[in-house]
Amino acid sequence: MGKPPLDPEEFLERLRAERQVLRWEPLAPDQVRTNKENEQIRNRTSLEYLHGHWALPDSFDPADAGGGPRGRIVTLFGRLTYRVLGPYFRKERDLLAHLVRVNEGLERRCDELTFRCQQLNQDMVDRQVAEARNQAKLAVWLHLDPPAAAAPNGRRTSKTGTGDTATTR
Amino acid sequence: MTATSPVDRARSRPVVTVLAAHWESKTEEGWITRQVAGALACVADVHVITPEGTPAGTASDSVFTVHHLGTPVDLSSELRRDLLVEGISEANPARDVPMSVELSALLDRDLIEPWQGASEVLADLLPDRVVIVGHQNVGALAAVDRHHGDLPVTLVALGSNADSLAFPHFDRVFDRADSILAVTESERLSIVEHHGRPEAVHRIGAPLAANSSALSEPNTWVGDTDYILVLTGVASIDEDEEETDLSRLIKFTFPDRPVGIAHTDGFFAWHEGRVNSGWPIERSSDMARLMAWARVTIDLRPGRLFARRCVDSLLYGTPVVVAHDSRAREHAQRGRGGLWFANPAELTWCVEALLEPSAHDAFSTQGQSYAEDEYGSTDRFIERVTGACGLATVATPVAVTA
Repeated sequence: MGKPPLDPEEFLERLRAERQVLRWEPLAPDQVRTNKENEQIRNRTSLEYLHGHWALPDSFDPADAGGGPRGRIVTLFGRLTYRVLGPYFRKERDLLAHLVRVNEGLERRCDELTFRCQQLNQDMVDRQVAEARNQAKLAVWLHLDPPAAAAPNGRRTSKTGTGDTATTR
Repeated sequence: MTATSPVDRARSRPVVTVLAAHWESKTEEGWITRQVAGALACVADVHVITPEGTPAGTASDSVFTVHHLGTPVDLSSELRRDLLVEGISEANPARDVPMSVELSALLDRDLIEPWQGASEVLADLLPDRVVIVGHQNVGALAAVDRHHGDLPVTLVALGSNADSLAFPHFDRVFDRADSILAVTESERLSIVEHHGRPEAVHRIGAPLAANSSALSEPNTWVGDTDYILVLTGVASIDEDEEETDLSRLIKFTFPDRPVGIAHTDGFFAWHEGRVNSGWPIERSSDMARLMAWARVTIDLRPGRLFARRCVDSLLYGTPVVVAHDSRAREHAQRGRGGLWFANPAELTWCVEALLEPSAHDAFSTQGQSYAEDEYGSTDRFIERVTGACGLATVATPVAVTA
């Protein structure tokens, strides 16, 4: 009667059970967090409002006063007010214009910084991925039983990775 | 139109027509196609119709008459179809792919037209049976149906890809065939799982034999005996390929054991940190001698259809170590001829285990017995093919030169 057949499935299970005593794996890299787009849209809407409304009127519109004697009095009073306060309104309009330009510049700068932050984050994740891959290779080596260490005399033998290049034929 | 005519009733042998998009032997698919045609040639006159070849014409090739249509199938069209199948299957893991007319047209684009001329050739030959090569070959099926809607059809499935086997677009090819030929058991099971009719799906194996001269003298490229043979299937400079990493792992893990690493651009024999480099393996006799005298063969990129190199290795009594998700796993698991790995650590454990004399000898004997039973007999292969096609076997096999 011959030897019973060796079942590779059982053989592998036994092998796994014997070998997988130490199990170490590198951490998985973090996910890249994407920016909240709705926040940027809200900022953009406010900025567009500023662009549309920063220019205040520089004279009184008689249509706003209405008709009749009362209207004429209001128009007269309005023109007088604008004539007296005109230099102040012009300065205020210049101020608002500058404020809008500054806000526009800040918005642009914020976008640049956000982009750079995202890029930096991506660079860090890429680096983490590379390190995790490298550590995964290390993990494989750690799981192995180095033959040099398992030599009967207990001494580790050093080997060179490259050698001569004599041809086989 | 009818399948037979008064003239054909006087035929001494049946006529079988093989419809293959490609007629060559370089790939496993091409090689098995030729072997199936060769097996049929033992009992029938075999005509091969292929869109390949320019100009169109008829030529003799060994025992076959080959009809070249002169309208080669564009390889980019096949690649597009394969990518579509892969992509759609990936997006629909449940395999409930909705098939629309547009999608069908896209899949078949430029793959039906090359077969236009096949119907005329079939009308001239009036075959008793046609063999369609490849389950994706809807163009050949269309040509057959244009000629005769009830003509018996055998399908050589060539199911290297499980997604493609299950893809509903190709159901009509399976449904039309009255017999389906699969090379391995895993391919057969995959076909039955998706298309049913287990009685119609036949495992045919392949006609392989150990070259006895390979056992007479070792190939000294690595060492005389007991070395580890690693077959990568990639170039040594392909640093990004997983196979390169795994082969490096083997040579560093077993520095005291000669390790022969076969790359596509060279053969590298490592021992004790030194390397001898040589030309890539080109002759099958060199590969046979390397396998025959190796302690274990590690095939990191086995053939996708039936992993021929692993069967060759088993025929020489050399156990194999293969990836767990490869077609070669069947030879290790069902044939009990080796082990399989799911990660690099398991690869090294498997190799180390097979270097032990007791395990090595057991797997060597079991694997060799399996390979000889299932792949080692040309006569049995011919019987399986002709039996599956419903054709009677005659005594003398015909030699088929590849």
